Amino acid sequence: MQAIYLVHRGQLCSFFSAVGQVGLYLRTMQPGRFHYLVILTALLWCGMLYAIFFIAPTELQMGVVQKIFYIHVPSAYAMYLGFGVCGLGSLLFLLRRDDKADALAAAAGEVGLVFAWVVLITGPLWARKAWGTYWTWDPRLTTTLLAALVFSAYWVLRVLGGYGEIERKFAALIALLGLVDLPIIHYSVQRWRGQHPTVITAKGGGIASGMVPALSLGFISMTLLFVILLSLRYRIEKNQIALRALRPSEEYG
Amino acid sequence: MDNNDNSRSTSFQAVTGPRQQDVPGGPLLIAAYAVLWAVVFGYVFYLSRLQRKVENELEDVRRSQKST
Repeated sequence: MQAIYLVHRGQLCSFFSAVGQVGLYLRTMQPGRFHYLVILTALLWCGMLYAIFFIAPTELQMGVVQKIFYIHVPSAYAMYLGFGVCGLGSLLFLLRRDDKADALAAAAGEVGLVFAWVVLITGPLWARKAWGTYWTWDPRLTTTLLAALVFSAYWVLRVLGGYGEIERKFAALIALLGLVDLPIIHYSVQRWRGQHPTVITAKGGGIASGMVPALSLGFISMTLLFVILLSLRYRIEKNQIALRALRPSEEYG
Repeated sequence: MDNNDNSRSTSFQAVTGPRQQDVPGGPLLIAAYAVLWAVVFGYVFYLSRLQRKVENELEDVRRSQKST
């Protein structure tokens, strides 16, 4: 599966290529196709849940709580996508003053943040059983929390700061700062000492074969959910652009 | 790489038979999935309200511009 390949190989170029593909897809998305996408995603989510609870075996050391893995890791992947699109959209906005790139960045930043908080809540629930504590200042946990806080600041600025030129430029710079943190999160488990599992990396020992279908479906389902949420949020941002064009003297928070 | 890497989990192995757990993970598992569903549905609800608000404002502006 493409999603697993990206995480497994850890190739940043492939990741950004995937981000670009999501952007291209959103440009061509029609309402009819969108409904089919929602139905397909719902079916895949049912398949994922079936695979998690009826196909994937119980893990030897951690027991049933390891099944959090199948939503935790794909959520982290969706978080990477959201923050990646946000950072690239912000860069495009700064270079070209493109309102659509700014709108895409705002939408992706918010959706990425939703998945980031899913990661930061489900992770500690898993850690409580695996490590005996909800939180530890492990490098990956700390850098993920840092990314969530940076993009939370971005989101607050977008929501409360309005649509002035200075506010949007400042928000874009914050997004670029958050973008720098993404590769640090990814490589933190390889470079620094910590407790976070290193299962899905080039140096990890991998997962039992019975766990692969659940994880694969998790990646696909979560990616499609990300695309749906991003398209919904992006449509709202486009409407806000239209609103600003009709009432240029006012700003909307 | 230092020797501390050896203390990390590097694989997940399937259990080979019935096994009793020392700390029940069921409530933690349920809580994690409940959080996921609550966050996703909560966010979709938030988006639907925001979409309605922006569309209403857009409609109001267009209507007022037509009337003038």
